Amino acid sequence: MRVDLSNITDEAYLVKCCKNNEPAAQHFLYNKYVEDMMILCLRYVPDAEDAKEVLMDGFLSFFKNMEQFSYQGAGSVKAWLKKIMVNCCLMNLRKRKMTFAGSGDLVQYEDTATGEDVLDNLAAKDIMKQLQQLPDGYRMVFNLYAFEGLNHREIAELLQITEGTSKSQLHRARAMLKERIGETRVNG
Amino acid sequence: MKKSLNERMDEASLKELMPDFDKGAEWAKLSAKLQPAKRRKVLTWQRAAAVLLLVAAASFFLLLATGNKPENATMAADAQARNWASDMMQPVPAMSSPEAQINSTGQEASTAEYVTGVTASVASVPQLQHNESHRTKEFVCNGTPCPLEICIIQTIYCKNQQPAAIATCNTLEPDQARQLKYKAPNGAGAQCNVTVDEIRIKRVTTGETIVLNAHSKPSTAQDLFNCITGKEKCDLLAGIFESDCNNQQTNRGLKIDNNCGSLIMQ
Repeated sequence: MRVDLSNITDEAYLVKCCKNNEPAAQHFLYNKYVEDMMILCLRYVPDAEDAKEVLMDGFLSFFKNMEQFSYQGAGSVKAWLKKIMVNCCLMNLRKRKMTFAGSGDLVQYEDTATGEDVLDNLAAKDIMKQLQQLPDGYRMVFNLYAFEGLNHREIAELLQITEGTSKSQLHRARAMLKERIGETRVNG
Repeated sequence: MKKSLNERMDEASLKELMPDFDKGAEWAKLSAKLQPAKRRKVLTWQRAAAVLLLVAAASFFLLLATGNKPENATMAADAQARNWASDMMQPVPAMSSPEAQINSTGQEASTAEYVTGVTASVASVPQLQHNESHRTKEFVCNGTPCPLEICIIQTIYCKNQQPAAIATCNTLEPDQARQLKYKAPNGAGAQCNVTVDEIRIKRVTTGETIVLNAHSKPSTAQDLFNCITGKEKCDLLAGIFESDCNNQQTNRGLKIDNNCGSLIMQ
């Protein structure tokens, strides 16, 4: 008997169907998460075409590795998909030879700033615009820290940089954002 | 209440951030990449079906060509016919292993049979085996300086079976004499009829081939068949080779006669 997946919201069941390569289930999960994932990709990869490529690679990886995923309650699918997308973004930036500007300096940076303060009161569209103007290294670290909630040790491991570099990149990113937002407000 | 950065981004609409994003088009691309394994299976079947169709069509045209060769016996076969003939004679022997005879110069000669028609389907091959290979009554002597391959192409019509074309090929070295093999119905109660469609005489070294069929002049395939099987006394010109075995451009008529007992090709 053919199951109508359009009325099913149970992710556990959808995951099971996806493990059996059911296109209807795959389509359902794709529709559910594609917009969020595209926004995530755009945060990391400013070029729209590149971001679409990353999105495609991410979903492909998500569906092809579905066997390895074990459903652990509400939100686990999205969390896993986000992790895959972030990795794909990282790979894309590595391909483009992402650099960490000013990573050599030894100034001590506070680890307490969340990054939110600089983007206070900005709408999503403006946040995106500001993020996309940051250099690759700044943007990567800022995203991982402020949006994905990783700490500097985790970021350092993921990006294969030192914790100091991670901190300096975040600091510089925040400084640059502050400056640009300030300019915009003054000019606006 | 102030919303977190994540909340603000989660609530953002992609339409606002990227108005030209086409969800459907991206899904189409993605689903095409997601199902390659299934498509590959389908393609494999499609390829297999296409190959079968091609083989069937090629065999069908080969059978047609075997039965309806244009008149060309008064002269040596043209280049196209030669190529066609030499291609046709390449298949692996299908029914019996080559036989050998020792000629006067001590060289071996061989005989082989080839199922040539499309309609010689798997089902009809066992039926063909009930039709015995006969040998010509007369010894045929190759009096030319070049090795010759003589292929007798026949169609076997059996009751409740599709007609099947079969070629029986005999190679004669210079000065070699032997009885040629051909197919004939097996006994009086045989359920099959055999017709002679074509006889091809090929100069082995050059590939040049004389093709005799029902329309060829001055001799037809049936004329030559009657001659070599000893049904009729004969003195006929089978055709003219344009070159000899050294590829020398000297026309050489191939005469066959059995007036003096043995049938001599010269």
